[in-house]
Amino acid sequence: MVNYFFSYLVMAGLYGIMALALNMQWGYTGLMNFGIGAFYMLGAYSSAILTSSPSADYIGGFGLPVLIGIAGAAVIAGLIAYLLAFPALKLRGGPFAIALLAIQETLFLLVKNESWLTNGVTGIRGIPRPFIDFFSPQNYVYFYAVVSIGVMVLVYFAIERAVNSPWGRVLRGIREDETLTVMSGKDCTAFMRQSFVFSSIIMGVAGALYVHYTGFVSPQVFSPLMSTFLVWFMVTVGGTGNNRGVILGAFLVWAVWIGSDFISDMVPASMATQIGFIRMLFVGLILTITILTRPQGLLTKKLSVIKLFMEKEEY
Amino acid sequence: MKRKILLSALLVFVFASLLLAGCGSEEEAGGGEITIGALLPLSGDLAEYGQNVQQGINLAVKQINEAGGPLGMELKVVFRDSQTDPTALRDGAEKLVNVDQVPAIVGPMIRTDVATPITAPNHVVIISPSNTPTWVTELDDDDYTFRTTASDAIQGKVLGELAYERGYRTAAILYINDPYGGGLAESTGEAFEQAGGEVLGVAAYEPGEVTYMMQLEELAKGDPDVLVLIGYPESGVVILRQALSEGLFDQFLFPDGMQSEQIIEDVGGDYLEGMYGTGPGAAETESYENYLNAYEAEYGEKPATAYTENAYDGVVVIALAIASAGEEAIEEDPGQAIRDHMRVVANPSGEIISASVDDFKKAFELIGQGEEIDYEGAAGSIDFDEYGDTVTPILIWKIENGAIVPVRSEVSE
Repeated sequence: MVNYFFSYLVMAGLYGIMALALNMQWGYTGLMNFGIGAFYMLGAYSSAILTSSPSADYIGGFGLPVLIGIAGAAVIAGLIAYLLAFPALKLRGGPFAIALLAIQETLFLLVKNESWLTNGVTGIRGIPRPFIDFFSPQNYVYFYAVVSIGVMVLVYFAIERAVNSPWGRVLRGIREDETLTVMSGKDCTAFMRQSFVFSSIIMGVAGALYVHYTGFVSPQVFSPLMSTFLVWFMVTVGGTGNNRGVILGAFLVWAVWIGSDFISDMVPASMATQIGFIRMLFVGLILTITILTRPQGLLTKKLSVIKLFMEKEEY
Repeated sequence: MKRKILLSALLVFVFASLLLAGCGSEEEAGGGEITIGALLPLSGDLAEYGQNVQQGINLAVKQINEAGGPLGMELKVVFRDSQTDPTALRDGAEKLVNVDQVPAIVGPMIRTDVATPITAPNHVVIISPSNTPTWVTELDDDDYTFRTTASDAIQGKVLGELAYERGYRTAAILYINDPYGGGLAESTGEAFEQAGGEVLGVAAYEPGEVTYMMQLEELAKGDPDVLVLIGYPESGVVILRQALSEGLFDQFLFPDGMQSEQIIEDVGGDYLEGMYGTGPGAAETESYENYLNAYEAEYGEKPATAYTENAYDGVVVIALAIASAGEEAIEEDPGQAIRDHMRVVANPSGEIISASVDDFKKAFELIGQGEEIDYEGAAGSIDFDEYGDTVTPILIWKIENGAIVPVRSEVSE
C-alpha cells in the first residue's frame, strides 16, 4: 500500500517536471507546443542508449554511468530543440502547435523504425537503475520518489528564479503582447528560442529519469496521449502560468488517471468492462468543469506584467 | 492567495486519502477467500481482446468456486486496466502487487517484460494468456513468469506451412509494426521458404492510418499468390477493403490477431469466403468443447476474439496450484508456493483433468488424497517447460458462410 503510494509519487513527480517545463513554454512564453512528448522521448532514448549494456541488436549499449546518461539526455534534447527552433519559431500560435505535433510524430516514427539505433518496437530492456544494489527491489521506489520529487523541486526553483528575472519578464511580455515587446527593443524570437531550448532540456531530463526508474523503454511509451496531452491537461487544470498550480495539476490529474481504476472494485462485475472509459470521462469532466468555472485553472497566475507597466508600478 | 494554496493543499489531501481508502481491500489468505489479479487492456487498442479475456477469466473463477474452490476457499479476482500502454501497465502491476497484494496475476496480454521487474522480486506469479514473442522465454524472472500460449516461433511455422499446403507458391507479407507482428512475419516467412515457397515482399504498416495503398501496391509487384496479413481487425479491415477494391489481392491468410468475425462482417459480402487462418487453441479436445459450451451457456455467444481460453486455463492452473501447495505453504509465501506447484498440477504422468466443474471437483479431491493430476486445458495440454513456456496446439480455421470454423489443430514440436 505504502509502496504503491510512493510509485504514484514517482510518476506524479515526473509529470510534475514535464508540466513545469510546458508551463515555461505555454504559461510564460505563450508557445503552444503540442510536441512536448518528442523531447521527453529524445531524453529517454538518449539516456537508455548511453547507459544500457552492449547489445548485438542495435548500435547502443555504451554502458556509461547513469549521470552521464542524464547529461547526454539534456544535451541531445537541448541540441535538437535548438535546431528545430529555427524553422518552428517562424510560426506562432496554432501553426506552431501543428508544426510541433508533426515533429513529434516524425521523431516517433523514426524511433519506431530505425531499429539499428533504437531496437525498434521491441524497445530496450535492462537499462541500469542507479544505486539499485543499496536497496531491495521492493524498497527502491522510496529512493526514486525522493529523486523524482527532489528534481521536481529543483526545477521549480530554477524556473521560478528564471521567470522572475528580467529575462522572465520579457518572456511574459511576449506572452501578453509580442508587438509591444518588440517595440520595447527586444528580439522576441531569440527569447522564445531560449525559453524553448531551456524547457526542452528539462523535458529530456524527465525522460531520462523515466527510463532509469522503469529500466525499460519502447516507442509505445510515448503515445501523444500519455506523453503530450496528459501534460496539457495537468497544466490547464492546475493553472497556466502558475508553477505551483501546474504541480498541483500534475498530482491531481495523475491521481485521477490511475485512481479511477479503483472504482472498478466498487461497481458490479457486469459494468467492470466499461471502467476504462470512466477514466476518460473523469478527466474530460474535470477539464470541462475547470474551464467553465475556473478558466484560469485552480491556482491563478500572477498579475500581467503589461498591466503592471501600464499602472506604472514597480515590479 | 494563501487561502487558495491552503484550499488546494486540502484538495490534494482529500483526494489522496480517497485514493488510499478506495484501495483498502481485505486480502487475508485462508480467511475463506483468496484473491488473484488480472492485468488486462480493458481500454486502448486492445480493449476488445481484454474485455473478452475478462469474460473467460470470470467463467473460470465461477467454475472453480462451483467445484468448491482451492483448499475450500472462495477464489476471487481483481481486474486492473493496462490501457494498452506500458506506463499504465507498469502502474497496474504495482497496484496488484502492492495494493491488492495478490500472489498470482493472469496477464498481461502484451509486454510481459514491463511487469516482471515488479512481480518477480515480490514473488508474484504472472501467467500471460497471449504474450507470444520469443523473447518472453529469456526474461530474467526467477521463474515467476509463465504463459499459456505458444511462442510466435510455433505459430509462424504452422502459418508458413499452411500457405504452402494451400497451394500458394509466392507470398507477400504485410505486418503490423509491433513486437508481435515483426516476430511472426519473420518466422512465417522462414517457414514458407523452407516449405518451398518464395516470399516476394515484406512490409510493415502503422495502425490507424487512412490508406495503405503504398504498401499494398509495393507488395503486389510480381503478382504474389497470397497476402499474409499479420495485424489486428481495426486497421486490418481497412487494408482488406483497399486490397480488394483495387483488385491487388484476392487471396489472404490470417494469424490469430485477425481471428475475429468482426472482419468478415466489416469487409462484407463473400470476399473472404474460403480464406484460412491460424490461431491458438485446440479444435477437437474434450476440454475445449466443454469450455465452449460453458462459455456459450454463460454469455450466450461464442468467444468473439482469441485467447479467452488461454486466460481461462491460467486461472485454473493457478487455482489447482494453490490447492496442490496446501494451506501452510500458501500462508507462508503464496507466490512462491504457486510458482513451485505450477508444473506439479500439469504433470503428464498424473490423472487427466479437463475443463469442467466436475473435473475440477475431482482434481481437488485427488490433490487432497496426494494423487498426481494433469490438467489438460481448453487451450492445450499446458505442460510448462523449464522457462514457463508451453507448447499449445495451433488451430487452423477457415471462413465458411460468414463464420470462422475450426478445420483442425496442429501440434508442432
